[in-house]
Amino acid sequence: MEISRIVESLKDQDWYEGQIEHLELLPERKAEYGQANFDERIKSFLERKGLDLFSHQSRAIKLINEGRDVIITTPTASGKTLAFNVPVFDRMLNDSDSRALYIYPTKALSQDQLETIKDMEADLGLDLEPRVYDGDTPRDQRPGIRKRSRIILTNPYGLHHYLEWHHKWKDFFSNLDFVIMDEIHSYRGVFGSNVAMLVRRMERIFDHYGSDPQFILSSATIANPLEHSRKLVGREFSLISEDSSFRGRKKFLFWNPLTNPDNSAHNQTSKLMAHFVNHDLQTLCFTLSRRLAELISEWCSGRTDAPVRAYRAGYRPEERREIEEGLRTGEIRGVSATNALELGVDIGGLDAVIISGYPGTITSSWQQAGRAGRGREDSLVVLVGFENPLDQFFLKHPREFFDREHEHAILDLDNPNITMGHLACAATELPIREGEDLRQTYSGEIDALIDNDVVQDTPNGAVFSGTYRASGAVKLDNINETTVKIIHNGKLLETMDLAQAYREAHENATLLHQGKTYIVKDFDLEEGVAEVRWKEVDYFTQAISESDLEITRQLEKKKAGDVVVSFGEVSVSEHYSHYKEKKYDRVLDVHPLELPPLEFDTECSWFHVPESILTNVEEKGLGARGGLHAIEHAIISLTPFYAMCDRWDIGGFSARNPLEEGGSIFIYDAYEGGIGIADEVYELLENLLERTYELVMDCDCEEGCPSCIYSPKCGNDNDPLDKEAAVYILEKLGERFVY
Amino acid sequence: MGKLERIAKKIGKVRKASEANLSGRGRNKNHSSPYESQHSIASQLKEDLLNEYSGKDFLSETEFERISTDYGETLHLREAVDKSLVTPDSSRPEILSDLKLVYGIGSVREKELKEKGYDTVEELVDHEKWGEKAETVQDLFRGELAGAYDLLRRWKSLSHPSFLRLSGLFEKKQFAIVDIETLGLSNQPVFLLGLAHTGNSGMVVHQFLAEDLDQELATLINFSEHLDERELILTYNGKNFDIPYIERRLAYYGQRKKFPHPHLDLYLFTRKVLGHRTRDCKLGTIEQSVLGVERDLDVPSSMVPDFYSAYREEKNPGPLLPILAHNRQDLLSLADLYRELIEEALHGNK
Repeated sequence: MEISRIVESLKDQDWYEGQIEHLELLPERKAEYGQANFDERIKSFLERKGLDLFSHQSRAIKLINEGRDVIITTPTASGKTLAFNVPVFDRMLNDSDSRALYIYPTKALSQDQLETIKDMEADLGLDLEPRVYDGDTPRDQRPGIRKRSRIILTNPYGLHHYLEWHHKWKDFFSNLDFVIMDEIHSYRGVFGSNVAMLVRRMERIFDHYGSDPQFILSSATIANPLEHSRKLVGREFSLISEDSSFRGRKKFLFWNPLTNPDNSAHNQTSKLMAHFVNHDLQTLCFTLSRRLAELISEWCSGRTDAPVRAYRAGYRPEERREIEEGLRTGEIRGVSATNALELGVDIGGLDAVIISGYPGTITSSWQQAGRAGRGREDSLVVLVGFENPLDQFFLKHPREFFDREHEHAILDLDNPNITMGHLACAATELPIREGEDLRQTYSGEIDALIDNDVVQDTPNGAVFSGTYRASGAVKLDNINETTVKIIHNGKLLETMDLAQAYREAHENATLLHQGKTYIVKDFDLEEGVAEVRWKEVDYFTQAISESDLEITRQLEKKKAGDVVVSFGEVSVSEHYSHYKEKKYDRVLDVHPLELPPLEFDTECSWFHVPESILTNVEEKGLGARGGLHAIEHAIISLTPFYAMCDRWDIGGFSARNPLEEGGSIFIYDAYEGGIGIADEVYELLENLLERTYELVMDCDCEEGCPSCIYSPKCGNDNDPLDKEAAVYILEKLGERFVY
Repeated sequence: MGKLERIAKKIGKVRKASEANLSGRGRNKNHSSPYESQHSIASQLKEDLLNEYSGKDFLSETEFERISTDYGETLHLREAVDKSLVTPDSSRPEILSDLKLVYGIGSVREKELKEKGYDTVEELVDHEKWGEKAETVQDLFRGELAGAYDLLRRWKSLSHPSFLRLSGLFEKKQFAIVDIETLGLSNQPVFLLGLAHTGNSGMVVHQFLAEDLDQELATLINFSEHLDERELILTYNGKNFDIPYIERRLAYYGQRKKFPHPHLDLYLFTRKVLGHRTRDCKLGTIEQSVLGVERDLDVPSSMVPDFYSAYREEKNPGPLLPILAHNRQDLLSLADLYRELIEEALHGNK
């Protein structure tokens, strides 16, 4: 059936109650082709594969052949990989010493791309021994790879630890002609800034071995590709951004589950997916959490006979590869996945994509939407908006979505929290000599390291003087390193980080894995092991937590109007006190949990609401706590617009202070040590509060709704909330702030 | 400035954390106590030394001399020790009785040839078929022995008794016993390099010391020059640790030097020959159970970095003294261990 008829048939479903808010038609685009010069053998390779170069690919190849550093930002499936593999292989064919380093943000991507590179290598009759070199590479194979492989694929986490052993990489680094960094839009924020510092460490080592490789970058569409590349690598780049590949017609549907209040958004997502799969559309559904990926595939399976699977991080590599292969061959008809499938894993194009919940950025939305589209066929994308202000805002204002600029990728190379650890690493790798760029750019930071005996200044440069490993002092991202092993019948089922385990692997939790339900029999925190038993039950569990927050140090303070805004260090604890047993959206039972609180130290910005305002609120018979809580939610829902982050990256806390001392609202980074979002909130608070006021004030609902003050991630089940109090407080704060 | 200070301190805290890990490696509570008591005795020793040597000057407390090199200043100690190095009285014919050293000869051919009266490679030189190859082998053993070592390496594992026998062909004076002390196990500075060799009478212990880390390169260079005067390196686990570590630190400073010396790593022989007699193959354990050496007030290897850091931070020579003694004892114990291994491996089985 045609896509438009399938969309029409949705309206005949008994659960359809006008959910389609908007339908956008994205027209077909014709392909344009181009020419480039390269080795005859590559020409015949392309001929054998039936590949004509699109004009953006040929332009990329020409620029790379001219020796330029190039950034390619064309969408998923536009042939980025070929655009850089052609010139790399061209060089390999004609220079038997030449080496290339491919850096991917995840291990899974390296493995996936290795296959592509091996295909090309075999077809060209080359012997480059391309290999992945990462934490999973057996120790005894490493020396051989460093010595013989001319193409090595790795990730930033590994490189961070390998660089101090650069002597072992001498042959490879001395002959390095290309560094390829794929998916660089994922190198943003704190993680990206860490990677940028890592690149600078790499560059000084390349320099030490007398090589000066060309950098070729690729990225999803972002607002500032040239600026981002320059900051990431420290060089000027040439940009290829025009996509000249063919694109079929695409229907983009906005689906508002709120029009049918009897069915949750997740439930409707699974019905949509089943509907598409049953109409023979191969469908990929992106969900916001691992658990939802599992639940939606399970619920969908109940509505179709076609093979439907879940896909998420935590699966073993062979499980992942089997699903990818099933998608490519068409055997698997539906997959519900976390954003683990958003990056360039090769799964071919699909007929339909469901984006279940706005993924937090425009960039991600289009990456996910880009998975839809197969050859000349029309394709379908559905955005299922959730019950939160951001999602609802887009559903009601589609132009705000379709015309919106992609996010800026933000890097901060001046944040000493990030740079100083890398400087210590750099001093471990090679002495930081007088006159080096690094020394000049970061003289203050290096002096502080010298003063504190992290490095020592010597006639040979700044030398690392610690008794520990400098690389251990730097974490590239904030993924919790404590992992919990999930054991089934003595075998490892999967691993997850500690916070996840608190939610999903506490005693008696239901744990979903590949459509099977397991019950956690025992959760041993000390050993980091959860034992599960396979048991099909018709409910799932949801852990409920309460947070607490303690200010440990105030670092900055300012007055905005009459309101005091602060920034500082806090200690946040998350106490998982009970869990619910749920069937679909219905709560069956609630049980207590006995787990020690999860604690972490982070950075926070907070402001004080004067007692006089709250007293007035209470005199009007409104709830002061409910008002503060509502404001906290609304601020958090808007913060992703201000700092490139996900709502889940930040946390909030609000309190009516005792002894009639007003109230406080806290916005903190949901990561150990802080990642700079709260800092941003501190700077922008007036602006943010004004937008919060508009959001809550202009909302048509009576007592609050998912579009303004209800949070989908509230640890207190959105209780208490008082919209009228929130509006009053914001209005009064506005007078003080003068917004 | 306050912010940078704070962050620098945070980086330094990694050290404290890793030290806490070491001493508190403690879910298996039963196993941690010997380590912990050793650790606390050593910490007490450090405190006592800091008190005792407070305000004192290192050079006036020891026989070390400050010397100048092209790479800056460094410290050096030369000490004659009344001790002799016992080496195996190997003979060339004994080693060359292994005809398999000749490329192409395996056990079967060797047996055939021996039955025909060719007892050594030297006798095989006249053989019609093998003569030429045998002569090559013979020449290696008559010339610089490094070539013979390389030949053995091609066929034998490094713990094979042939290497012990081969070491007997070197002059005693060519031996360099080497042991180093570092701030860590991967890419942290090395601050003390010990080298012992046979002198005109008895042995000579050299210690090359970086007074502070800015002397590391000069110290490495000074040590290297002394090592280059010898032909055979003798270490305990130096094949994996000491020698590559020294080469890495030289490379860190842009000095791409490799030590080509034949290398006798006693750890490999110990594991094979004495391993069954001891609970582990740490040098300290071997000393106690095999050599009968008891060290008093020793600093455990794991705390050497901490002692050196205390010396640097407090500018107090106290904590440095037991490290020097520790390093010196390691060198001398290796001479004894070498003798013991020769007994066990070359004579014990006869």
